[in-house]
Amino acid sequence: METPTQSGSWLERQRSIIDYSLQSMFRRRTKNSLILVMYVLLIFVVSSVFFITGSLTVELFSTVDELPDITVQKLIGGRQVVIQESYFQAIREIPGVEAVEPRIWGYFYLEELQANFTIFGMDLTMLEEGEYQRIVDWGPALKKGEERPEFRMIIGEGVSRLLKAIQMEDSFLFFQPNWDTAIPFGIIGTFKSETQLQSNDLMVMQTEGARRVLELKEGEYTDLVVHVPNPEETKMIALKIRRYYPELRTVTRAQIESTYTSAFNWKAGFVLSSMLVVIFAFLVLIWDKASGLSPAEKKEIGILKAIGWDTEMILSVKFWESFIISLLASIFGVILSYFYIYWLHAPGLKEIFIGWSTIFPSFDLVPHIDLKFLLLIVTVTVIPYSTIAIFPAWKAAITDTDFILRNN
Amino acid sequence: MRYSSKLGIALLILMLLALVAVVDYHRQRAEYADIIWMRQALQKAVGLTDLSITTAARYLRHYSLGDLTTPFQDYPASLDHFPAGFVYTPPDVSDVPKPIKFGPLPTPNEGK
Repeated sequence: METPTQSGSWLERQRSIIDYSLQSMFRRRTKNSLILVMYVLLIFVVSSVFFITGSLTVELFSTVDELPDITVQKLIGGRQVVIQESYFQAIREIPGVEAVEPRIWGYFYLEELQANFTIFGMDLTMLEEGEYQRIVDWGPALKKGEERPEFRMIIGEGVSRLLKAIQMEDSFLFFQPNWDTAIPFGIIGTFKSETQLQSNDLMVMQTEGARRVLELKEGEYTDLVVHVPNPEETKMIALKIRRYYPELRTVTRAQIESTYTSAFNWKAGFVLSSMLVVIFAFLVLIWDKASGLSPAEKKEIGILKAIGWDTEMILSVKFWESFIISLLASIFGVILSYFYIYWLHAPGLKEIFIGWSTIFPSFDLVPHIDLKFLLLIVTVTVIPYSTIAIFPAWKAAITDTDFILRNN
Repeated sequence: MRYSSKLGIALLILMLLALVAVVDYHRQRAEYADIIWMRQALQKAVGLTDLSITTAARYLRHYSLGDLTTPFQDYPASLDHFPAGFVYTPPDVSDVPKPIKFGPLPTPNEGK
């Protein structure tokens, strides 16, 4: 150990002080490594949650501009029911409405696999033409004779994986209990894995086929999509729709955006409660630090003072001790959580967001790191820890040396 | 070797790790630009909301379009059954039909 002296440059002096701090930390290695582990764990958990919710929110917002302006649902008894054709004309006549488009979609629960699929009906030729072709991995063309234009579909990757397991990757047999025979649906393609976060559970089929599977009668639709070219008018048009037809519910794009904003709010749910344990442990640790030094530490300070160290230097030693721990823990914790989320795809934490689904997406999230998050992590951990560790050292350092040494 | 040099080496290793993460971050973000087009195209074609990360129930799969009574849809006062349910905050339901109000009819200015 080099004894810190007043001679030498400021940098050299600080280096000597750091040497001393590290040495004294090393002497109490059990306690300090425990603190380090706890600290890394806290930063790891907090930043993992920030990363995962940040990325998911960014994923949601990446396509928000393509959402319909107003979605209209019909409610009876608080539940969504099918909407009749008769509403179209009236809604189309509202000034400011450009077009009204009925949609057919719903869910199909496959008992054998205990999986829920989302079924969406549309004109598939739209996907077969132009730029949309790029989002689908087209399968081999269906054989002549098997080709039934109304009974074909494009499926998501997750569905494809499940159907492969039951040897139905080329065509899937739909059956509802009240049907006489099952209907085979030719699978003409799979959505590319890049779109997996949206398309994983999708079965997009020709409108007539979807109507058949969802058992909707002619003239019935799941919901309506209203196109409003002027975004300023959207809210008013939605209000008008609700005033004319109180049984209808409108969901505007602004509402969906506001839902998206708070959807994965990290304060919601399990994540926070799981963090509480770690936060509490960390608080206990800080409390332990703040409530006083151990007799050995006090004695050390007394001896240092007796051999001529001044208060400022002792505080520097203590500052460096806590700063080094904080620095190592925060850098290591953040890096660890980065690799955990974006390389390992968040095993353990992922399940909280997925729940009991049977169709798992790969959870291949695109990194989104907000500097605000990192600053927040540093602010709530490093700063309180560094400051609080200095206080008891200062108290010991300003006490009379003789008193400290005699009382130990 | 002095303790501070050892600390320096440890910090250097951490910084290298951080550099790997930063490089990876930028690589993935660059790839993202290509992916985003496909997602937007899919969204445009299939106008459904939300991410398909959980398909356990419809109010989790399309939770921005969920029913009002969402978690209670199985039977009255049934609690939210699915584990993913408590990760999500409730959707914005500000436009939901309100109970019948007596008195003057709502005016078009009400929503402003």
